[in-house]
Formats: sequence, structure tokens, C-alpha cells
Amino acid sequence: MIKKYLPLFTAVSLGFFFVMQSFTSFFDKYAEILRNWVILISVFALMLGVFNLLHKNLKRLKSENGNGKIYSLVIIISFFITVSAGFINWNRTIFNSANYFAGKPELVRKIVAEAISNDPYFSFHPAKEKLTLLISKDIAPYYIPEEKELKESGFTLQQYLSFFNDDSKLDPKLMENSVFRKDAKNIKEFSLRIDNFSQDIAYSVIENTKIRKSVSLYGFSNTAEIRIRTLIKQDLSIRKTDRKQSLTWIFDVFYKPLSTAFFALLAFSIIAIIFKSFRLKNSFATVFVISATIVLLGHISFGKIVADTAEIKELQFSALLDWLLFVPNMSAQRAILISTGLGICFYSLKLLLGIERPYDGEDDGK
Amino acid sequence: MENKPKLEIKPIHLYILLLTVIVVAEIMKIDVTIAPSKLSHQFYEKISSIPPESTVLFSVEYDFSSNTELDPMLEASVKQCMARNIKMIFVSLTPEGPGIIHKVVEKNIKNGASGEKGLIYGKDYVNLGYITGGIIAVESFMADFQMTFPKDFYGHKTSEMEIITLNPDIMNVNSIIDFSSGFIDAIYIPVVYKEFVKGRGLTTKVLAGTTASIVANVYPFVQSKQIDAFLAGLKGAADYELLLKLPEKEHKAVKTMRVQVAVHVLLIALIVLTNVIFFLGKRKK
Repeated sequence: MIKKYLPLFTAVSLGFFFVMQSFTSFFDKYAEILRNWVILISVFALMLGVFNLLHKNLKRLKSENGNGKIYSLVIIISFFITVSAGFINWNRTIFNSANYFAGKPELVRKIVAEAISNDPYFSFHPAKEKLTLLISKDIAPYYIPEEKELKESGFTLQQYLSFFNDDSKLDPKLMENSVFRKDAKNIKEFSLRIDNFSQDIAYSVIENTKIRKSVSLYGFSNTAEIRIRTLIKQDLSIRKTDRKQSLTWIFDVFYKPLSTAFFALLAFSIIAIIFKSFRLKNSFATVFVISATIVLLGHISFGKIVADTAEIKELQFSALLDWLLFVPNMSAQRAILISTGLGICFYSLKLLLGIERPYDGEDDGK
Repeated sequence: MENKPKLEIKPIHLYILLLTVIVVAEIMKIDVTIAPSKLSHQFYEKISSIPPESTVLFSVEYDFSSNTELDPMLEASVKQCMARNIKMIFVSLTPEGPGIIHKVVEKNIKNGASGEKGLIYGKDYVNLGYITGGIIAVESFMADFQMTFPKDFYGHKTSEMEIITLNPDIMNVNSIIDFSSGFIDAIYIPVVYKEFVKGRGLTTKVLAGTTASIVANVYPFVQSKQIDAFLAGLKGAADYELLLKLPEKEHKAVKTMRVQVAVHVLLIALIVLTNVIFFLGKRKK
């Protein structure tokens, strides 16, 4: 009873739910949850596929019949190698310089200090600017300035932290203060420059390339670049394990050429089929062959060349191809699409009303 | 009387002929004239009109069976976006997609497509990886992007990425560019994108590129403007490369067009030959 009616109830009720959802936004939130369930179920379908592949091939390996055993062995071995590469490769990333600095307050602090001592603008500003810089957005959560430093800067701790965490929390009166506004602007500008500069250096260290913009365009000195580069290199020497590329290697060396080669073989089948069946046997075949020839001529440049060199200016294959695609093809395609759409509507209606039940397995073997 | 040996063309002869034509075309480097089509022009102009600093969503749904046609399209459009300082979010509905995206983006970065400015991952572009579920997955991430992609392809939290936090509503990006090869994907995924966008009253453009074998099926959607601009097969990719005025060494599709042209000539010759044989045989009977 439950086995029969539970799937029916689920399918019909969910079907009606999604129909209703198309007419009102009231169910949107629940529809979103259900859609995520579908994605989740698709993952199980993938897993099912994987287990099925293993099961079938292991069964074949165990069978007494020797046919195709070698293929099953290759499938199983390559399956496990690829999966292992994926797991070993778990932490492998392309270098993400933005995330690299996250959670490294000490490194950021050192880099900022290096940059400050080499920055043309801030070299003219003593303690106040240096202090404000140290509370740049990268290290704000980790750095609490000393009382003396705060006193020199003229701002409260709350003001500093609120500025870097959320501009909107700032006291509007504070923003009216032109000195503060100017400082804030400078700090933000510097923070952005040091962000881009250090991320670029980090990327170039990892990828072994030159930095993308010249040091002077960032507004820093070459000494700053060398010092920051050394700091990043020191840090990276501890984390070399991030750069394993086994999965990418399998992908490039095996999967890509094999799939491409497999598809390329289609060209050989096509040529044999064309030779065998593109014959003007009857009127339908004639229309078919002529259309195919126009498509071949029009889709490529030589169609135009032939028309030009033969001085038949009226005969432009590309124009003929456009007509073929946009008039007869379009009407035929539309007819197919509309009839398919109607078919889907009727089939959906049958599913909704429980007349068609592909999920209860009744069709099996029929 | 001695029987004359019958001249018979077997598939193996055709295979050898095809292989010879391909090799000769590749070695001879025959010159082909390519006149970019109106559709390719449209595609190029749509990307050219995207303002710098805008964000586009790239949806990649193909595998290596179609990479000859679709890789050049993806590469060239990524190159154009990088050069125009357009931010890029990549998603894929095929398992091979994230790997393809990774290669294409890395290659463009190494070739300096982004100029002196460079690109920062998480800020200028992000590879969100593969999501299973097809059209349902599209519906899901169009409704709530961050919930569907809590992490990117490399395992980083998307909530910490500037490009994601600045674009909480993925439908509100400037354009969606879809490259698909399968029959269902190539037709329905761009259309699903467009319908979602239109349903919300947004003007997000949907651009698409597909393999030549599905082109005929996609035209009705191009004419009805459910797809705003379209690149058709290898010819479309070659057109686009020429419109971008890429240096010759970066021509990928244009080079492959040489072989395609040669093979098409062979196919036409074979159609003529098979019909000559057919009619001669008929007359004898």
C-alpha cells in the first residue's frame, strides 16, 4: 500500500506545488529548498553511477568468462588512481593571493611595516599615520593600538575599529572633520595599494613570473619589493604542499587527448556514411543532398571564393545558407519544438494525474 | 573470358583519403578567406559594449569532445573581458568544465591578456566549479547564488570573495555568456537564463556559443531574441578571433578552419563522386 501510494502522493503533490509556484511568489522560498534537494539527489545519482560502474566491472573480473576482463581491470585501476589523486589533491589550489593573506596577521603586519618605511607619502608623516596604517583592514581584528599611540593619533579606539569594520558606524560629526576625512582617504588609498602590491608579489613568487605592474606605478620602492618578496618566500617555504598537481596531470595527459581522439573518430564514420547514403535516389534524397551541399559550401569561406572566381556574383552560398537556415529550417524547427512542447505538456498532465507512473517500476520488463 | 577486377571504394580507402587531406591541409597551411558573419559581429559588439568593472557570468557546459570548436570561443571572450577590465564569474554544469575554465583563464593570464593591471582571484574572477542538476541547478543558483555555491572550485569560501559579495544577485550581472555542446544544454540553458532574467524585469543579456552540429536547432531562439548574440561553430569562433584582431600566433579557430575547409571540399567531391557512380551503375542496369 505505502509502496504504491507514497511515491504517487509525493510525485503528484510536488507536481502541483511547482505548478502553483509558477503563479504566485508565495511558495518561492519552499521551491528553492526543494530545488536544492534535487541537486542533492543528483549527487546520489552520480554516486549510484559510480557504484554501478564498480559493481559491474568487479563482477566481470570475477566471472569465469574471460571476455573483456582486461578492460574492466583498466577501468577499476584508473578509477582508483583518479579518485586517490582527487583526495591527495584536496588542498591543491591555484594561487589565491587574496585568501593567502587571510589569517596571516603577522605577515601582513611585517609587509605593511616594510611598505610604510618605503612609501613616499607616509614618509613625511610620523606616528599618527603609521598608527592608522597599522590598523589597515587586513590586521584590524588582530591589532589593538597602545594608549600612547592612540593619544598621538587623536582618535578613540572605537573610532578606529569602527572605521575599518564598517564605515556606516562612523560618527557623522567625525566625518565632518576635514583632517580625519583626509586621513581616512589616504589610509584607504594606501591600504588598496599595499593590498594590490603585496598580492601581485605573492602571485609572482608562486607562479615564478614578473609582477604585472612596475613597482613605481604602485608607488613603492624596489627595496620594498625585495623585502616583501623575501617575507613571502619565507612564508611559502613552509607551505609547499599546496601545489600538488596530480589530478591536473591526469586530466591533461589522459582524459583530454583520449576524449578528443574518441570524438575525432566520428569524422571517419561521417565520411563513410556520406559516401554510402548521399545519393540522389528519390526526390526527398535529392532535397537532402542539395541542402547538405549548400550548408557545406556556405558555412566555409571557399563557398564565397568559388562564387567570386566563377564570376557568378548572384550566387552567394552564404546568402543561400542563411535563407536555408532562417526560413525552411526555422519553420521545421519551430514545428518540432511546438509539438515537443505540447507532448511534454500532455505527458506532464498524465504524471500529475497519476496516470503515468514511471517511478513505481511497473513498466519494467514490458 | 577473364573478369576485370571490380573497382570498389571501401571505407578504408575513404579513411586514408580523409587522413591524407587533413595532413596535407595542416602541412600546406592553405590560405582561407574568412568573412565574419552578422551574428559573430553582434556577439563581438555585445561584449565590446559591456562597461569596464561590470561583471559577467560565464556558464561552461562542454567537454573535450567539443573543445576544438568551443575552446577558441571561450578563450577569445575571456581575453576580451580581461582586456576590457570586466569581472568574470565562471560556473559549469559539466564535470569537465572547471578544468577547462582553469586552463583557459590561466593561459590568458600568463599571456598577459589582462595587461599591466593583472587579475586578482576572488576580486576580478572566480571559478565556482561544477554543479550537478542541470537546469534545476541553474534555477537554484539564479534564485540564491551564495547558498548554491558556498565554496569555489578550489575550496575557498565564496562569502569572503569581493566579486561574490558585490554581486549577491547573479541575475543582475551585465551579461551571461554560455558555451554549450549538448543538444539540451545548448538550447535550453541559455533560454532558461533569459527567461529568469526577463521574469525579474532585468535587461541582462544572454550570449551563447555552440558547436556547428546544433546550430540549426538554436536559430529559432536567436531569431526570437531569447539569445541576444550567438557564435556558430568553428566558423563563429574564427570570425570572433578575427574581429578581436588577435595576433596570428593566437589564432586557434582560424588555423583549424584550414583543415575544415579542406575536409568540406573533400566531402563535396565525394558527394559528386558517389552520385556519378550511382548514376553510371543505374545506366548499366
